[in-house]
Amino acid sequence: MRGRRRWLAVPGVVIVVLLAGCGGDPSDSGTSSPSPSASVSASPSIDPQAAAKATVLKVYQKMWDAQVKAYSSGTLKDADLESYAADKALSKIKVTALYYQQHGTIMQGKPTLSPKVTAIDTVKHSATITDCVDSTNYVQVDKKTKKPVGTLDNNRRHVGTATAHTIAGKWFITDITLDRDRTC
Amino acid sequence: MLSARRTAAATAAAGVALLALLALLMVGLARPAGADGPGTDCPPLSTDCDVNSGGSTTPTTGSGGDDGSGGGSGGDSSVTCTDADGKTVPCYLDDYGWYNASDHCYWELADPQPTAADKDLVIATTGAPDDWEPGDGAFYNVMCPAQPLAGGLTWSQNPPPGYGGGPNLEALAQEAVTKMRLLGADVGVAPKPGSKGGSVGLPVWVWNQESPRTTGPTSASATALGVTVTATATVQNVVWNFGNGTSTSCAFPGKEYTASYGAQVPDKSQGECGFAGYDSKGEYTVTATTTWAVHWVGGGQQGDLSTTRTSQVQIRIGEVQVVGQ
Repeated sequence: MRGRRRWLAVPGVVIVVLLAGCGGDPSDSGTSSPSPSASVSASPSIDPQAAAKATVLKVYQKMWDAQVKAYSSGTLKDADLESYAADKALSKIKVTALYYQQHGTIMQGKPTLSPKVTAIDTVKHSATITDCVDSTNYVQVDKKTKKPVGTLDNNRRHVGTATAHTIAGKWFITDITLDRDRTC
Repeated sequence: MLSARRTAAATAAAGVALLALLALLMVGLARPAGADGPGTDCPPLSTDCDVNSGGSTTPTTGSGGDDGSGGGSGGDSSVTCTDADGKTVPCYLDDYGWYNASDHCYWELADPQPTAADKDLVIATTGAPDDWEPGDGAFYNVMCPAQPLAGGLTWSQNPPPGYGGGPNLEALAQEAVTKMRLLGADVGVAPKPGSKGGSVGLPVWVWNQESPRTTGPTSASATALGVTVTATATVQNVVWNFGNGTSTSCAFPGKEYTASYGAQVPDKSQGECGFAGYDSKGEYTVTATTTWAVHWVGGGQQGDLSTTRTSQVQIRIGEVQVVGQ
């Protein structure tokens, strides 16, 4: 029993290593992710999904970078949003960017993120990210005067939830929600 | 159709988009942008808001839209698309795509397009049909300014109305209809209006004097951006209301009354139109409502629309007389 287990653990490890090799580039997909049998047989100390999770987190971070760039520059041009955000996430970011443009405001600074992949399915290629978005140093300011726009919200830490999927073999953040009622 | 007077090429560039943005700023199109600054109307991903985003979550995506009411982008500074509230909005916005007037969202082709491996996902979330195969239709990134949560990746068999800045074909069809100057029925009636009138109990005959503008068929064309739409109008029917609670619908012009008909009641099976007669004397207004059916063809598409015209005539019904006098 023990011997068999060790045997089976090997392919799991190999796959993880291979995936980790790809993990450096978020544009690489997680489609060649471990099979479910591999995850069952892997030794408990190794997370066969670690590489996929790392990729998802990287895409999530890049998505936020693109978002911040779009809001702070007042244009979607060059933000490269569509490399990381798709579906609902993309449309929400676009609506938000348009809102800032229309109001003559930009976002200044950067949020501090603490994202975790709280669920991942490497067969269906979907993942859930839970985050605590700290906007202490991320404020809406007037585009010209750079003066902060009065805010209703003194709470600067909100729970963020995102979902990720692969599309055409590449991970994208497909939805993102900032829960204004939940602080963290 | 108030939109799409002029349209511009698909290559609407940054300049147009800039104008478009200015226009946006001026008209403030988004419903959630109603109030001053951030507040109850925050956009979905604002970190400066303690109330969840306004904007309906009504899933309006997925409609490929087939009413063709999108607009082309303004070739000059005139803005030619209108939002749900009737405000003018740019027909094209850089990085957002083309305005679809039927769902009030901006549509842009998604890149990358989902592949066969994404079948489950796209069938579940984008409105793609269950038997979707790669190459079947296309996926668009849809963004709805007035409904922040309604957008997303959306499948559509055909490009949505207005996509690519092509002319608004339905608007062109409407323009062609306007050129036809369609009329209501040129009412012929026995007893004749202005005569001593008809009599109680004697049949009333009505007919529509035939001409292109009263009975059709008639056609006209309208052209924009090199695309011509030709519309042909024919009368579908005329509803004759005799002013006494009686009405009849005739899908044909009817036959002009002549003395040879005597006191014969008009017979629809003979292409005759009218009714058996009034029960009491008086002045009656005969109202003819013509429904014109319009079929249009052009720009690789075709469609149908209808429009109505009304005309009236007064007749007098007295004691016994001879019909037709």
